[in-house]
Amino acid sequence: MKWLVSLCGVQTVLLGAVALKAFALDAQIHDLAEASENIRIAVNAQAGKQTALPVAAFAKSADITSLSAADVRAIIREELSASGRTAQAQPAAAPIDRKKIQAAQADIENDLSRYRARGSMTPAEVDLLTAKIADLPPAESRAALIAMTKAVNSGEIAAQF
Amino acid sequence: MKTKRALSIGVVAIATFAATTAFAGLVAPQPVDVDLTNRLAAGDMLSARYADNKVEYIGCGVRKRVTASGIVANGFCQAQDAKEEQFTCFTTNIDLLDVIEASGDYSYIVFTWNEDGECTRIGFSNQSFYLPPNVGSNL
Repeated sequence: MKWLVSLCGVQTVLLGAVALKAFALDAQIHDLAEASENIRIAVNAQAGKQTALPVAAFAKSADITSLSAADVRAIIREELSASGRTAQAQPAAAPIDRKKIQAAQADIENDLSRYRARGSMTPAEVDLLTAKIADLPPAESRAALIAMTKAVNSGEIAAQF
Repeated sequence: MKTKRALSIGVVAIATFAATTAFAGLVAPQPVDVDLTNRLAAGDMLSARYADNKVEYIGCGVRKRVTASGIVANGFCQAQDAKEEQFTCFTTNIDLLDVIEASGDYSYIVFTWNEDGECTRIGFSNQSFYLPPNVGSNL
């Protein structure tokens, strides 16, 4: 009988220890979740975007809660089109130097003429030429890519990319 | 005695047959085909690499470059078939570039282009039946 009582006592103590540990872990998880949320908000604020505000922030604004699903979709579409999802970055704010662009285009055309005369381009030359083309503004770059690809596809210049 | 001999020969024959028959799952090679009329090229890379000619190829790639205005990327797909019909298309479309970058080894590739040589569709398919026969086991 005595040992049974002792066993019950030990069991009670152990259960108490487990419960305390569980509460401590729960508190830790809660702290980590809060820290993670704060980091996410800080990163988005730094990037100048407000698209990932927590739900609580939205709920505080009466205007936000009155938005319909269609409104939200329209806002998202507007943001996506404003961000300009193309592989080429938008030009810098500085005015475009037309003379510099024309010089670069002439240089590319000279290269193409040289390769047409030879009838071929090595992979390294393809790489160099596409790099020069990449330095052009988007419209000019596209035109140069079209010219280069046409020369290759017509058989004027043998090349593998 | 004769029955035993016949039985032995039969067992040897069956064993030889079983040893030479490879059970390896479905194999579906797709030699490269370039259709200049319909502006479409397709084929799997393994078949191109091991074609019994020195002209067949197919593949895609991406080049990215740091410029004054940011990262500029362009991609391309190219193919030549056994008849030496060849085409190369290029793209700067970010979604098509994503497709190229997500490709795997031994892929089946299909691409189409417009009149300017710009890629209008790029597809990759990674299936077991495009794999080479002896890559080992995953057991």
